[in-house]
Amino acid sequence: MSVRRRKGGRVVQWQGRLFLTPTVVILLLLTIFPFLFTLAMAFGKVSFEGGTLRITITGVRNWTRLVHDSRFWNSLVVTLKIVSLSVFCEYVLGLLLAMLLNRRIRGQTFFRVTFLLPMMLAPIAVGYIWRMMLNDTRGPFNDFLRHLGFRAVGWLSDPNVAMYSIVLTDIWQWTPFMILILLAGLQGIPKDYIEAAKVDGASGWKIFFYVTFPLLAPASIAAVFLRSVEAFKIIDIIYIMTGGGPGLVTESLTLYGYSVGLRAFDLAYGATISFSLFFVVLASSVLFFLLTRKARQISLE
Amino acid sequence: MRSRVADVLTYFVLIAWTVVVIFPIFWMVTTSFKEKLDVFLGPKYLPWVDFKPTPKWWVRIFTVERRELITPFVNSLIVAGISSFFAALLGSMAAYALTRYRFRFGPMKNDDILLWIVSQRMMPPIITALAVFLMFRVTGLLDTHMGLILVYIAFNLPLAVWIMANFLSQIPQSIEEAALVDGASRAQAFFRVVVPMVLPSLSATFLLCFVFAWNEFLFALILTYSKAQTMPILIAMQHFQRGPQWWDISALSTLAVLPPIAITIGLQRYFIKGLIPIGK
Amino acid sequence: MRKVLVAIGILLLGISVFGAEKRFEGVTITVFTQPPPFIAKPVQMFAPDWERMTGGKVRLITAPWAELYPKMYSSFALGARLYDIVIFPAAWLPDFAGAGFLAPLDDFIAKDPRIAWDDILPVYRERIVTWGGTVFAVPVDGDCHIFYYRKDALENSEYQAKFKEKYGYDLPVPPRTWEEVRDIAEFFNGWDWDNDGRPEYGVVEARRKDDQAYWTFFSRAAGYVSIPGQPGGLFFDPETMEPLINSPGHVKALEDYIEIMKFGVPGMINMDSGEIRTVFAAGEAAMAIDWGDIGVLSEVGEESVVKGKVGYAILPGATTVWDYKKGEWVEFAEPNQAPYLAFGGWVAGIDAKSPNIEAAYDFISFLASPENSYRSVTTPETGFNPYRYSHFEKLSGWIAFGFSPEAAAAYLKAIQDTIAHPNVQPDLRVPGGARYFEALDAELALAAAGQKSPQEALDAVAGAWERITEELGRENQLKAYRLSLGLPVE
Repeated sequence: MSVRRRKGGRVVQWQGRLFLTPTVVILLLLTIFPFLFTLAMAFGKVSFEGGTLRITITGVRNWTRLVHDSRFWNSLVVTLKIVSLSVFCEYVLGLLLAMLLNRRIRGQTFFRVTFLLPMMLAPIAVGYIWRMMLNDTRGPFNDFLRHLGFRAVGWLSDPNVAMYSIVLTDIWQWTPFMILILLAGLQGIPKDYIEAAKVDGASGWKIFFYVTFPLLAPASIAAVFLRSVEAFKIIDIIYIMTGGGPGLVTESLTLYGYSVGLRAFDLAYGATISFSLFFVVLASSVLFFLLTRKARQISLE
Repeated sequence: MRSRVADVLTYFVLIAWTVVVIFPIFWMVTTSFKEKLDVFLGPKYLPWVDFKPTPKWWVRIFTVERRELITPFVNSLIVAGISSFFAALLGSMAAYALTRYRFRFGPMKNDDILLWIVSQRMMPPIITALAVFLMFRVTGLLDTHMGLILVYIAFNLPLAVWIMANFLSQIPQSIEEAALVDGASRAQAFFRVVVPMVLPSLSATFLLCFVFAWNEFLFALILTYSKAQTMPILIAMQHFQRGPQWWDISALSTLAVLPPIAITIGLQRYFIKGLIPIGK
Repeated sequence: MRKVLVAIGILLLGISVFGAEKRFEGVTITVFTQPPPFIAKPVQMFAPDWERMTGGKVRLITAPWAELYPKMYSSFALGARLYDIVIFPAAWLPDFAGAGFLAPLDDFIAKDPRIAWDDILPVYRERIVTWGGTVFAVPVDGDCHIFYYRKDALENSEYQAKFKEKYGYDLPVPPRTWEEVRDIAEFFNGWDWDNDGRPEYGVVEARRKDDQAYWTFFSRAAGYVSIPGQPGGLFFDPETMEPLINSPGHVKALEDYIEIMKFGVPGMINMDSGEIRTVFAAGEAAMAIDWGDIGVLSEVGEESVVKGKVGYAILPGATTVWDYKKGEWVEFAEPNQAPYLAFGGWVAGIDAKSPNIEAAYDFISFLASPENSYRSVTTPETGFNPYRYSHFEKLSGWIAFGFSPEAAAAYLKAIQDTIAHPNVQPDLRVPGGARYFEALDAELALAAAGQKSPQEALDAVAGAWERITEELGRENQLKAYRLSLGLPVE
């Protein structure tokens, strides 16, 4: 995060406050109360006596249950796998495509608009489209395989494959986001840096590793960070495509929390699961920021 | 020194990815023109070759089911449009403040405030959804445009502040300072000098916020029940006891993707440029 | 007697149309259920008539299936009063009625000839919609699982001869045990037995996680664990509330449930009830388990390729049955069949805090009257299945619906045989039912995917059920369970 502060706070502060206030107020209103409310649920018990909701604080009972809940650990692992795998692939693909789009080519506009299309579709719709295409007997994927002489794959029904199908769908939908941010980053790199490197006789790969990639660090960090935060919350696509099955191989944390909290209406435990996800995201973010500190410092110079 | 091989490879990869992107969309659009049996005894690929396209699902959507369609579509436009406008505006104001003033709220300084704002995006929506439901019940905001707009502004603000802060921090301050010296107020300097300069990135921010708000599902599901229902809910409702109605889902999804595409094409000149910090 | 009541009902209906003043002028009632067509369609069909008669207004509000429970519960529990009438699965009644969310309806029903209460099958009017002896909802749909098979496959003499050669006994039509089902499924799996150029498969059954698979499991388990005259073997021990879900009978049923997937349509593990219907109607499977919906879709659906080719039967059972009281397997000479009232049907209840209870009841009574409900159950895409004596009596509506007379008779007979069966098993009806099912669903999914053995999975369910019972209060749960089985409580 590169925020440069104005040196010396000379200017009247109330104007600045005025600019910041709406954002802070809206966020406080819509997030702090829910945050505290859910926190209370996660450390309590919810009951509906006489038609009114009542929360009784019961301490860490929900949390000891969480620690011993193998389904929770499973969904945590599933979430981490999906996030790391899909964000990694999206980044690599996004970088490659952004660099190609950054070349002088014909049809720039066509490619750029086309490549953004998947992102424009509602994740719900994307889930349905891919569920259609990955259908065992009536989907085009298995039809292709059959024509090529391969065996049909249980894209969504084979426990060893289903998670990768989810990842594949996520990659299809969200690589555009990476392209968008990275292409902007690439275009922000001054041409003279690269020209200078060329004059020095550096090869294409060298230019990439020593000039482009480091200069792209802020955009890369932003893209990976924003995308990961979203990916941790994955539910829509899974909900539509597999419902978390077969077995529990595609049950993400959000889906589990949703099942427990809103389908079985065990609100307290659902809140606990959701909260654990918040901690996971928070911890991952802190780790991510620590790991990239060096890169971010470079980018500031 | 552009080598031929590199060019050929570039086009090859770009076209290959185009196919990857287009095929599912092609599948969606064609499915909306298939008879039920063409879906169930599929896969059928090419209209007129493999199957005889039928417009009947589209006709039904625009005649019998018109009433059920128009409300969610208009709701989505209103809610996504207004909320992303305000998210972009308020977000850039906050970003401006954070990059031009020095704040201190207790132990929190500018960086911490920015981090706090961005971290709101990390909150899983199911954490907040139920509590927001309660709040909205008390305030009468359940199932209203206003309610959803508020939620989506909050939902998109972190993203907007993040993008705009990164961007504004790179803008030289000399221009606005010149305006300030000329006796303009901060607000005037912001709206007359800064906003025009950052219009491209404002558009890009608006576009991203719009897409997220347009497609958001979980909040819309929990906070609306009839008057303010949005398109993703309508799509999800096409899954009946009789199984997913693939043709209806496809037709509605096709329809639902048009507004974001229109905005993308309209703003495409800006949206790449808009995300580039011009200080560099 | 029934006919007299019906006649009086019609008479009163007539009077209220022509004579009485518009009773509910200016009243708007809100009806909440899943999106049209299924379940909501009858509301759309009859609302205009009711509005004309009474001057009231009906507003229909819908939400996707998976959201109904949370939305209804939160509206009730948080006092949001978003809906006057809720049309919901009977399984949720204990949660709603037990918490005092629903208005008691006995007084209305007693004074209302139009609803012809005695015309409703006893299992629905006495068991499904009551809680603690009080009626809290009106049935608008009858639901039970029945068994479907392709007559053109199972009754083909050439295939029957081959079957006998391979398995050493006559191909039973319809099969009466799950073991027979297994053999038939294996026999008809993976080859083109209806000569359409595509391979067909043995069975199609719902297995998808987070959906309705557990009802299929109980349908398969009922015959293994329900001794006639000994209630409660399917879920809990009615003396102690101890879960029976991991009994040897249940484990055997789960083994069957998993083994049969080898002979199922590819991708079956990911299919929900909705999808298996389309698959069966598209002619891909020889047998299926479902509510009444496959019958309707197969006989009248525009996408159906199996019109007139479907056979109907009550659910198969088993010849060795687990007796949980003796703790041993019991041999039966004749297969022990125990049809299962999965889901129990949709019922209409009224928010106890609604300001318009009277108008709301009037609309429900109009919707559920013998004439209107007959129209509902014989109209495409209503999702309503028969639940009144009068629905089974005249075939004309079914034939107008698109059924052949034979198909209509066979279909109705299978449903009627199920409901009237002496060993019919009602669904689980206790508060927190959704939580018990959710815990079961996850473990079933694990077992179906081969990630846990049937015994391990069901042991885990038993553990989870115990915990839920503890948390909700064993005394209360036991009392509720005994009530739902019609057993005495002190």
